[in-house]
Amino acid sequence: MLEIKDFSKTYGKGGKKAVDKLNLKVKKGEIYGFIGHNGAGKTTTIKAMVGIIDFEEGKIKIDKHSIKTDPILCKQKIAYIPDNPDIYENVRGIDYLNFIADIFNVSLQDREIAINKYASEFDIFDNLGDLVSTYSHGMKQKLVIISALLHDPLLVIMDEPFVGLDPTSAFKLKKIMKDMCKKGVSFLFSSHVLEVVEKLCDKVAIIKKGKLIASGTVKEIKGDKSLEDLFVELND
Amino acid sequence: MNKLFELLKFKIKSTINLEKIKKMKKINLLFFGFIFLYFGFSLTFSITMITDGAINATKEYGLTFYLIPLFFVMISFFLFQLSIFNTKSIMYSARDNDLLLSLPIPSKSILMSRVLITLLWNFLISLFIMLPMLITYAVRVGVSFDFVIMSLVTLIILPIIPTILASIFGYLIAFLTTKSNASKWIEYVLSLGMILFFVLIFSNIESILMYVVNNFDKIENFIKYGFYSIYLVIEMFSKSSYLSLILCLIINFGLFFIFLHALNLNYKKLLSRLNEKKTKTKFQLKKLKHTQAKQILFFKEAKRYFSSPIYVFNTLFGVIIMLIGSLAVFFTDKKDIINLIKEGGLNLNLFSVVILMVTFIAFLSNTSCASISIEGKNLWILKSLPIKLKSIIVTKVMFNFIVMIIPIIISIFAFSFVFGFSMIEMLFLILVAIISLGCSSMFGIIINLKFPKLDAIDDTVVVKRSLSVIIATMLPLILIMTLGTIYPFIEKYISLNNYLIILFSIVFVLNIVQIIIINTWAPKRLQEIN
Repeated sequence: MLEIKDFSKTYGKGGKKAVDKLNLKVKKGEIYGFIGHNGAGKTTTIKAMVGIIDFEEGKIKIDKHSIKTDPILCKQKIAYIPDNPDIYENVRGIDYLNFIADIFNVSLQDREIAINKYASEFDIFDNLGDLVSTYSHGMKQKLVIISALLHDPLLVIMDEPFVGLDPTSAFKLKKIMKDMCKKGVSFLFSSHVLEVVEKLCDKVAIIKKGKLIASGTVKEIKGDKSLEDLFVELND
Repeated sequence: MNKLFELLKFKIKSTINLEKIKKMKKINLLFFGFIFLYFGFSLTFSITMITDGAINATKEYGLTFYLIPLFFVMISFFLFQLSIFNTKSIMYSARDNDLLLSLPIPSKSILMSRVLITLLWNFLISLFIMLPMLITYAVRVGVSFDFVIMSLVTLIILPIIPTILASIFGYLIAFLTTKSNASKWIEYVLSLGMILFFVLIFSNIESILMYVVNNFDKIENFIKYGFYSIYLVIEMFSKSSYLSLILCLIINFGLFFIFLHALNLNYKKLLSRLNEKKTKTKFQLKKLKHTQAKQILFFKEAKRYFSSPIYVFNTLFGVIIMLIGSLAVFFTDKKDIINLIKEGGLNLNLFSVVILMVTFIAFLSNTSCASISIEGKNLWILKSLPIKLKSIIVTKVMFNFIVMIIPIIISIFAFSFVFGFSMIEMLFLILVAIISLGCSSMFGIIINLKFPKLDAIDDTVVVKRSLSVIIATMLPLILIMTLGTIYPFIEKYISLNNYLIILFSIVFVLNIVQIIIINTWAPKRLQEIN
């Protein structure tokens, strides 16, 4: 579903490499954890995967299509949840969801079903008539998550998706992820909550100073240790 | 006091952003330096000419000594008008409210730092306008030691009262915002009212001045009892009165400190109330509407635009004035308009004046030069959606074009009807509007893509002080001024009509070049911006 080959990214001419020759494969129905220190290159990699930033070296393919040459096709297949839910403040929650549904050409019936389902599940339905500017950080995060699920994506890429979510909503998101995985949807997400990564993910990749230092199934990677111990060890 | 100083230092540092200037390429620095110098020179030259004309006019009535107080009042009005749009966002709805209130800084220091920043801006603007005026006055009328002292004092006190009044206006909007959900509408109504007030004043300036001349004693008494501070400025300059100077200083600084103290009584409470969010209790999902991707992008652009009164008034101001003017010509004698043009020193016919006006408004009313910056932290949404980057850019260009072309065409119809232009002349005017607007819309987006400001703390910074907005409005202004200045020197060789045809042909070619840039460079550049 997602294939990253020798991906490198440098900010500015002659600058330091933010990501250096990164290779990664996410298969259909897999949940992939992406962990690393602050500034390790996680967000840069994620932004390149979803076509927000350009890159000079390497290849990123989504469902066999290159994000560089076929960005529209790739973006149609993916959903992205950023590390900060910065969304349009001047519109109502429902207007934002409808806007995203229009862009992805989701039928009226499907969008109504999805909005009803996910907004109720995340306990935000009653607030959909309010302006986004009145939302709390967590509510905005929920709105972004719902908007990402409206068009039945094949791959969901998330940057710190659990930050700002209350425990119930975090639990529900994990359940939704598992249910969608069974239907063949793949997930890649970055997180600093290693316990969640350990329990939820099939595979994990650890990035340090822009380089991939470990990747594989959670069992292979951590062995007998906890993921937290391994992470600290690798980063020392 | 230390905290206030630190706060001020930090604010000024972050506004000027010296680090960014240091990192700029030498060629870019030279280019901007040249543009700013040229603009500064052109403006100084215009101010000098206006002052010179005013001195000639008042000499006939022996009222030259009233000029400095008159400049004082006019610049005060200008500063007030300029600041009313800024004060709400700088002083009350600033994004750093929560951060500053959580720090161990007294609310008075926060308030004072914000008022001082506004005051500093106004001081710099008034200095830029008043200095050439004072120098011209000194050269033409004569200069004494008293005049120098009094001019310096006038320069210092000039921005105080406009800043206080604009802050009160901002407070009023902020206060009403806490009482009502329709805050945007309140801001629109109050701001529009203020614009209409200024239009009314300036459109009747001649009759007002005549009234002043004919009712001099009455006016003097009115100023003395109604606007004592202005009366003191008159006294200062007409009688070289040091007592008036001291009183003027006491009154202005006294008012400033009383205003600060009074506002501080309620300041923290107001800021925290502005933070309160009004929400509805129940939501019912009504039938949703499906809109095509390109249309929804356009509607999104419109919603964003009209949600920001400062964005709207900053860009629609000229168009609104033109629309009002086109309606006003229905009630004005055509001969009076022709006389007004001649008195203004323009040796042009009505058709040429309308062409110039349409071009001027089309180039100065530009939403696209801020449309990328205004996305700010939301830019990721558009970039991550399955839409062509070119479509995003074209939508922003089209939005500017459509918003501006409608009132401009209405104005053209009105002018053509009243002035009796032929069908061909009217169609030519529409063509001029289309070519000029197309050029300014594309130029705006290209400049904004080149110099985006995605980290602005609010819309005011983007709309009023970002580099792309300054360039996109200043550069055409400079070009129009230069082309207007050149024409009298080549008048013998080329008729005005031919001159205009050549210029619009150049603008037409520029449009083609810009279309190529939008198809090639612009999407790549948008991809780079992060």
